[in-house]
Amino acid sequence: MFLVLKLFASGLGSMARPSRAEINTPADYDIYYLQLLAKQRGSPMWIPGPDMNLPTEYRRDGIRIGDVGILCRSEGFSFLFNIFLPADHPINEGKVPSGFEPFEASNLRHELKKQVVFGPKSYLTSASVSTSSNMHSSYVSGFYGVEDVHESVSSAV
Amino acid sequence: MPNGAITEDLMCRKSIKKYLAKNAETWYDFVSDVRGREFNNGDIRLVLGFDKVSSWGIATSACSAGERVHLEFRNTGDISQTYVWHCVGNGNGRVGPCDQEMQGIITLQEADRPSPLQNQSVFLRTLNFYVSGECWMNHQIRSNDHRSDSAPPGSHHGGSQPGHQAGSGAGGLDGGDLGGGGSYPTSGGANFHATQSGLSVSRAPAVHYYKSVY
Repeated sequence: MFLVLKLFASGLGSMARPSRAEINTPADYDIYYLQLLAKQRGSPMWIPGPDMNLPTEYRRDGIRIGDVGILCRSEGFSFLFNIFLPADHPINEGKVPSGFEPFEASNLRHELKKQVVFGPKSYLTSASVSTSSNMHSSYVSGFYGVEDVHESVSSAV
Repeated sequence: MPNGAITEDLMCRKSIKKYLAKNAETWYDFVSDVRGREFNNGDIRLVLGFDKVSSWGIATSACSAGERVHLEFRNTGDISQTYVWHCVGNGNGRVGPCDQEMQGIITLQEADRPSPLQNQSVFLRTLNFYVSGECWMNHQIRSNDHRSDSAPPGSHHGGSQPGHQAGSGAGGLDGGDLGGGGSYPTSGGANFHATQSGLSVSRAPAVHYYKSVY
């Protein structure tokens, strides 16, 4: 938070209000979501980290299979409860509907697929980004320039 | 994804869909009436898969005709294997997780490792489900007793209403069709430098200001 304020302060002198072009530009989280949705890996998460108010046990793993929650482009995933955990589990305690019965998960253990699709130093970029990865200190570098179109967007993770 | 990702998916979905069909209406009522949350029909999701990482860098840019943006994910060169976005032009980069997020959830031994926990989800695959039109109507009528507007303020759920299905149940499996958002002003180019032990930010040539989403 301190660092954010510092940046704000540093920018105030040169920029009192956003320009018209900046107001019309889509929000960063919209750019990110729409561009990386095309990668067909599900919803790209603008906020990848778990809610810091959740129990430590939840935060250590982050979002897990069986989580029910509200998904929002700008705010990320808002956890409600998990269907595989009992009502009195620390992660679910006080968060489930009355009469909640967890899903019987014992049969599903063999149906869980775990893979490494992205190895170290992998990345995804939207189609408009031209990348190079042979630089000394970086593993992805994207150049993006447009000549003919009025406005365009790109993103990377 | 400096340290790669782990991908997990639940393959057996038939029985989950049955369970959902049985419970969806109760959940909608519960989330609205008891938890006090505002949402659109279809906003509640069930996670069936994810790609998780221990560290990430995310960058976006938007530029108009003639502009050129250069974004580089650069290693800071120290032993901690930390990265920073170098942005020239109208780009915006973030890295994470920040130290604050990891505080209190990693052990002392883990803290020494460069990437202690894979708890950051960069992609989520969810089962999207809706309740029936009638149920949703009833839900909205009840909700309107408590608030005057039907569009939740500040919820960032704009866009289209999902189509109603004949009965409550599971919709498609994907991550799509998320509502749009309110508009944050975009930031100028900035360098963000996160480490496992701290977060620092340095000015870039084109820094104007940064609106935090944390």
